[in-house]
Amino acid sequence: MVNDQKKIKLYKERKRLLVIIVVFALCAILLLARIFYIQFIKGEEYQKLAYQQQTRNQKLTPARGAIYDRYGNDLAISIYVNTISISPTAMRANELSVDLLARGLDKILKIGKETIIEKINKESEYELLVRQVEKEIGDELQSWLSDNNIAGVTIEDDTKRYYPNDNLAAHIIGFTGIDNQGLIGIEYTMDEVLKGIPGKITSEIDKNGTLIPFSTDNQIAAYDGLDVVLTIDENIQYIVEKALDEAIFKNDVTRGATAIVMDPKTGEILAMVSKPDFDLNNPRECPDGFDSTSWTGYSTKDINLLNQTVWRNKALSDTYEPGSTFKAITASIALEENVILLSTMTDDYEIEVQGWDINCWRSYPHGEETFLEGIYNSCNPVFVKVSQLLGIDIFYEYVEMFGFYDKTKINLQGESNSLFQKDFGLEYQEIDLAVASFGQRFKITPIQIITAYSAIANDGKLLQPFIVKELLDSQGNIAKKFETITVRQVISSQTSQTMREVLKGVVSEGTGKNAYVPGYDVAGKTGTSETDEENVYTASFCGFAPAGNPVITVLVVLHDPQGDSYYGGVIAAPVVGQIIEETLEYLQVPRNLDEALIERDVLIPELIGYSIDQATDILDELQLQSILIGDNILEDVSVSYQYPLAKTIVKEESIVVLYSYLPEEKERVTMPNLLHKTIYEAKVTLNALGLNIDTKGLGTCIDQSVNKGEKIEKGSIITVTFRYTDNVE
Amino acid sequence: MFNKVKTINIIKRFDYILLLLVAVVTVIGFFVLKSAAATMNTGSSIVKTQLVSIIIGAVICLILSLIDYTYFKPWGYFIFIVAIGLLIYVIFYGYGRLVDGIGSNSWILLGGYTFQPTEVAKVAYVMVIPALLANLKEEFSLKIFLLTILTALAPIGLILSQPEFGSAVVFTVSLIFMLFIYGIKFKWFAIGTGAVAALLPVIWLFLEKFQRDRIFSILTPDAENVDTSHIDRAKMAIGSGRLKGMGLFNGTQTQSGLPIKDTDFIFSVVGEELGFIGASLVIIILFLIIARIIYISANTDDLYGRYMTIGIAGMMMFHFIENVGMNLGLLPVTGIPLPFVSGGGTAMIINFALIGLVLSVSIRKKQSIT
Repeated sequence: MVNDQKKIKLYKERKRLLVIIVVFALCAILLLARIFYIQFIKGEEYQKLAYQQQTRNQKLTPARGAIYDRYGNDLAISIYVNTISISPTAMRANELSVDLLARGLDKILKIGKETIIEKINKESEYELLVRQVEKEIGDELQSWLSDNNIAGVTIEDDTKRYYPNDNLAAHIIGFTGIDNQGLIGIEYTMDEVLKGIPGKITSEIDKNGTLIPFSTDNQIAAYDGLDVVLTIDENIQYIVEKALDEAIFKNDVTRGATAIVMDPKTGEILAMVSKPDFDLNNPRECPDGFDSTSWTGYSTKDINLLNQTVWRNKALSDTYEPGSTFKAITASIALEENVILLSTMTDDYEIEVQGWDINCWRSYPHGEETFLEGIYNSCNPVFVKVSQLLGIDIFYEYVEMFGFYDKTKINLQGESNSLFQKDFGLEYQEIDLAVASFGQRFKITPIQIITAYSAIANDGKLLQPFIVKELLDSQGNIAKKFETITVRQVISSQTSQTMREVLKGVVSEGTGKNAYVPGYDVAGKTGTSETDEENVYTASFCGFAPAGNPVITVLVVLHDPQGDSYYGGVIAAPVVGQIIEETLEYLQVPRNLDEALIERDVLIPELIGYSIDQATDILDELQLQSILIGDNILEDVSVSYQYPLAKTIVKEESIVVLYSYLPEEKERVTMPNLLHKTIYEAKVTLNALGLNIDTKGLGTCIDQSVNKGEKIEKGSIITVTFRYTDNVE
Repeated sequence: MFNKVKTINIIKRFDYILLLLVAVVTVIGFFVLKSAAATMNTGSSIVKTQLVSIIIGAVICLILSLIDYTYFKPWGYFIFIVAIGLLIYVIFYGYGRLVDGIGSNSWILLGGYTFQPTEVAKVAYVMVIPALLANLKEEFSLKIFLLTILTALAPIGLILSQPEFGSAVVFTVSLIFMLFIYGIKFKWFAIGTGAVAALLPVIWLFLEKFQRDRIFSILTPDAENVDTSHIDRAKMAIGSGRLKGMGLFNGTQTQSGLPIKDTDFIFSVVGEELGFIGASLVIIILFLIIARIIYISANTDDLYGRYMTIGIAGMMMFHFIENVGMNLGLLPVTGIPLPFVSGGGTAMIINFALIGLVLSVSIRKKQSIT
């Protein structure tokens, strides 16, 4: 009985076990059916998705092209970097504690332990730790991961833009964003060319309608971006940046400056500088003088500020009144239209136009003079009279022909439009013409004025300035070459030749004296203009050299100089002179010098050990003077000490001090004040004290390398800077 | 003399079919894991751990099969109490939150090694609850019945508070199977189900956001703002497998971004690299293993052995269906590994231990009658 009951019970339990097994079997069949569905019915679709996902991860992104200067020096290159991400889930599965992991990662990545801990504790599968760190850091991390058997960290290969010269030519080169897209400069304007063409995966269907996804034929390889070769010469760019930096410092230039060097015969931009600038490798840094609290460099506010300050390419974006530099244009038009001769007598007395009195820039006028003298002296009334001879229609027709109405179409972004009365819908008035003749009451861009000057230098042919020379493919073959584009003939080559001589005279005899460089025949014109704000001036100088066969055109514009002078002829002209001298020397353009005028350099020989007699003979031979110091100077006493020391380079006629004994205390003299002295006066003063002079510039002394009153060793070389300060506008 | 008889019995009655099935699926699983781990930072250590665990597991399995399972009754209580203690411990001092991909403090760190008390609790569970139920079957008392249920729910509650939803369900399914075979009336099941249903909103409150997301993503596959990337990747992987698979070490998803491919999503690796043939083979073998355990249960007259084996079958069945189901996008993603295939030392050893218990029962299933 008991057994029967037990058996019934067991039977019942077995029935329930059967229920379990049947339900289980149904579940298993359902799973199998689901697999069948996924792998066969939906298989193709999932395979496609998987393939897309897969190929998306494959690096079909092309390498970004490099940017070179005209001689192939690297200006922008792509370097390999690593982007580090983690899978928080997998990270937490490591044996090491989160704290230890974070500490280890921070030691290598240096992004803050707390940040890392926060990311490891996130409920996600993917957290970006840091983008674009140097490959060495990635390698270090990889070995740390392997050594400690740590899972969940992904190190991806990536490329990053690197700019070997930091600030050099920053506005021209530009930089890229985090996704390697160009943001400003050539990186922006040539982005399409530089970025290359990404590879593509095409899906092919065979004759049965099946997708053939994994054949390599369906993969279109990525085309690497082309390399861009600029017309810029890295060395000239450096010369210009240095000269401009010095000028900004010396003259306390507060609102930035710009300088351009152009080849007038081709339109190639050799250098273009805008200050203040920025470090291309760190473009989002807070500019100097601005509040850096809460600075990110990425907010709209920050980017606006960057755009208005350091990122702004003043050479193209800033418009300014060209002032007297424009007189070269007015003179060209007058000579081309033959309304006046250079020898025609005129004067610069006050002239009234529509109720406005116009005077010369100098407080007392130059008086009766020829048109040529009027140009040399930069007399405003002279140009007003000339423009009146031309009339509004002809004058502005030439203004347009010189390219002042149009953008130059240089291949850089941010070029502004010029501003004339016509742009406000106004008719030109007599007074507009009168003041325009000397460059006021209209605004143009620096690139426009240098382009117009280049036309004057280039036989009257206006060229389109350009900055991209050629494009190279990855094998280094020229894929595209950019040629000179002539916009139009503005003035005749005859007028051009005359103007070159006239502008050379402005520098050698007129208001542009401070741009004079011995032997390089600098031609150019000064400019000083008031801005919209009272007492805020723009000093500029535009010129070219050598005048007979111009090789470079140079423009320097200094905004709001707060130093001793705001006149372009005083502060901008010497910068142009310096740029021209260093650039032409670098380009090995020979100087056109009268042999007799050349002051030779002499290398001082070793004289110690020779007898006084022998030493003075050697110095005589070298055209050097000697001063002897000692109690018993006999002919056979030998020289114990000399100053300047052997191997110093000095000009001929310099003084060498010879001692008959080894001096414990060297002979010293007190430095005199040379301010306002001429070169000759300065030289005589110094030589009388047994000092040597090294001159810089022409005119009167404005600076001496040793302050007055200082004690200085006899024989020392004093660098004295001279500048024309009179009749230089 | 008694010993001699027993030895002969063991060799004669040993369930070679079950052992063979387990061996085959373990070998397949090992190679799949090796492939899955090939592209992981810690791949080599994962594979090494797995190999060592398989060896330890096999040895434990054989040892347990040789011991009369009835000896485990007193041992079971001891292990059970220790396991409960550890489960309480991990709630406060658990290590490696989210370590298994579902977010729980379920690990204990011991001399550089980690193990999950939940796994230990599984063994204790199938030793203790069947014993209580068998006693109850002999002499029913409502008070003891309620005490038994309370004991059975204790680990489930603790695991839920880790929180480890998936493992809690493993124990629950095991308990339901045991109660079902114990013969509890359908009426009580209905009441139990009703009670759980009533508790569901409360449980929902205790779930963490990602757990809700995962359940939600199953209910509404197209819902936005829900992280379904795991399931998408898994389906892509399996779909790419087609009939023959892409071959071991060749699956494009497996060898790249397939998440948690060494444990939770190992079945996707099977699907992608071994195709429909490999995937159905694994499913059939696992089905046969569990079916074999149920068969053993059905043929065991001893109640303790019967409940124990059905409890083990319940655990493995849930692991199997849940893991494969989530890989196929049918069930919510939890950290439930695939028995004998997924990487993970503790789980492998415990699964072998459970098989050892089943083998022990199967050898002695007719003892009580003959």
